[in-house]
Amino acid sequence: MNFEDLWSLNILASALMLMGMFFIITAVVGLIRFPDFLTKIHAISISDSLGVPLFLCGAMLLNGYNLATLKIAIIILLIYLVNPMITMEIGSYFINKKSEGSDD
Amino acid sequence: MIELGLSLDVILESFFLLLLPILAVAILFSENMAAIAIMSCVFSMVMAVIYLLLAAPDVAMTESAIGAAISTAILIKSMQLTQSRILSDKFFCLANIISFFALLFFGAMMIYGFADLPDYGQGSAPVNSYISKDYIKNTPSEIGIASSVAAILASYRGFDTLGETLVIMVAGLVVYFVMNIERPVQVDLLDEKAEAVYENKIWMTDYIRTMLLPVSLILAFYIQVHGEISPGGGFQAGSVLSSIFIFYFVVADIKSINFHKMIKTLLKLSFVGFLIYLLMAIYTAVIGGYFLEYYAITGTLLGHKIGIFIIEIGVGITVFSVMLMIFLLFEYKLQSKPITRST
Amino acid sequence: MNYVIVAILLVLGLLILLTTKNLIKKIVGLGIFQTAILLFYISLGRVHGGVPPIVEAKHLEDQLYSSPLPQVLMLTAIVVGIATFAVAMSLVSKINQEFGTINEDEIHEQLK
Repeated sequence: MNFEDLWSLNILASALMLMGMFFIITAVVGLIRFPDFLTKIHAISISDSLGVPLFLCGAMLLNGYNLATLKIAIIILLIYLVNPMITMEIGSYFINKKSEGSDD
Repeated sequence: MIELGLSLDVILESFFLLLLPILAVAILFSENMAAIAIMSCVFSMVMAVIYLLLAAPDVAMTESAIGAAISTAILIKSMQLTQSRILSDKFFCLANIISFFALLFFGAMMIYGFADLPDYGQGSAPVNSYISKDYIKNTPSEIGIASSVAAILASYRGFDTLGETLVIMVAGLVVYFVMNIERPVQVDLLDEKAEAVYENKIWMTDYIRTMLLPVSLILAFYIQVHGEISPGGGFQAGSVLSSIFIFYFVVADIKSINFHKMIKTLLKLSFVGFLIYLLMAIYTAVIGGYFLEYYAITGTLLGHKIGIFIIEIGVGITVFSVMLMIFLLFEYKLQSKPITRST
Repeated sequence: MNYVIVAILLVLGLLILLTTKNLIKKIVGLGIFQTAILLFYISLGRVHGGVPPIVEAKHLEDQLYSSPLPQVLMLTAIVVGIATFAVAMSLVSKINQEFGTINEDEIHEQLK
């Protein structure tokens, strides 16, 4: 990581990354502690929508004014779009299937 | 990967490296086939991160697209085809114990043999010294492109890559013939004139996956044409593009099974890719140089760039069409129930 | 350290191949074996303090590069590995179509 000499930028980026990590840890704790499959995927969707994008925003700030920053922004957009869609697909399949019990 | 200092690097690498045997042991003792598929996917993803830490970005891109996406998709499709969900294995029978001890002996021999290798990360090891140094030193002057990996792949060892493309094409042919799609199927499922219809019960899935296709086309094209100045090239672009198309078909609800036209088109496309490579090689021989000597195209270093660009396009087309065709063959087999003897 | 993990993975991959009776799991074990070999080659070519081998002409003298030759060989090995994996899976599905099962013992019994 190239830390520039601007300490406020470092503090802001570190704060964003720490918040992102906090949300990811919350999501994982929820994944372990929630009882049922549907509630578990509801808990893990927090890391997709809030945890990883906050962390990557912190990475964008540290990267400077660069082409790589635009690429990270595109990655954040793709994660926002695709991961909740997949979660919804999995949940909808789980609700609508008519066979035997749940495999966790 | 930017070098920080020895300690943080070693910690990161060791953490990911220690995950690998844990995953392998979990696959060994697991009885649920879905769990095996997911764990092999995670295994490939961790390997991709490790390759990035070992300063090999080309290999990391290819491993993440192929191992994590395509391999898992084919594994899950074949599990669905064979309708196997739960394993039933006995672990502690005599044959297993004998093989365990034999393999333990094999592992001890391997570790004993690995102790003689030069220290990890030495610049003066024989593998780094003789010909690799020459390749790195001569790439800007003899070939004129920045990425020495692409230079070795397409120019210094271009004949090997020709053979690899042939191998990929032949594998696609084999799967095409084993999954016999000319076999008669139940008449009420197959409509000769109809296209295959892929819908979904949730409109947002259709919307997003259709929107993702042009974006990924741009991404794959970007990776393909930047193969000479950054990590990229034919293999990576083909596998990334085919993994996005596989994603398109996986999240679809496929209503009819008429994939005939698509599979046959992809088969012909794989031939086209290989022929591009072969014709470029023969062309350089015809106009006066040796077989696969790109220098003969214009007589300057620009010939190398043109030659490498064109054969990477051939490789990319072949890899993309073969991966997608294999997946579609599995999907076709899954949807159709052929008229066969029952076992 | 890398090499010890490679040896462990080789042993585990072959163990999965040998101890299970399910054809699909055997092929997964073979894939693990293949991946361990790739890891071995690429960690052979690693140089401490080296960057990926994208060479810029002005940095040629004073910059340490990782060795590009193992990376190229392993790049093609990955794609060929997936090709053989796909062929093996198609053969397994054909076996299942003929015998109705993918358990090795049951197939042996049907062949008698």
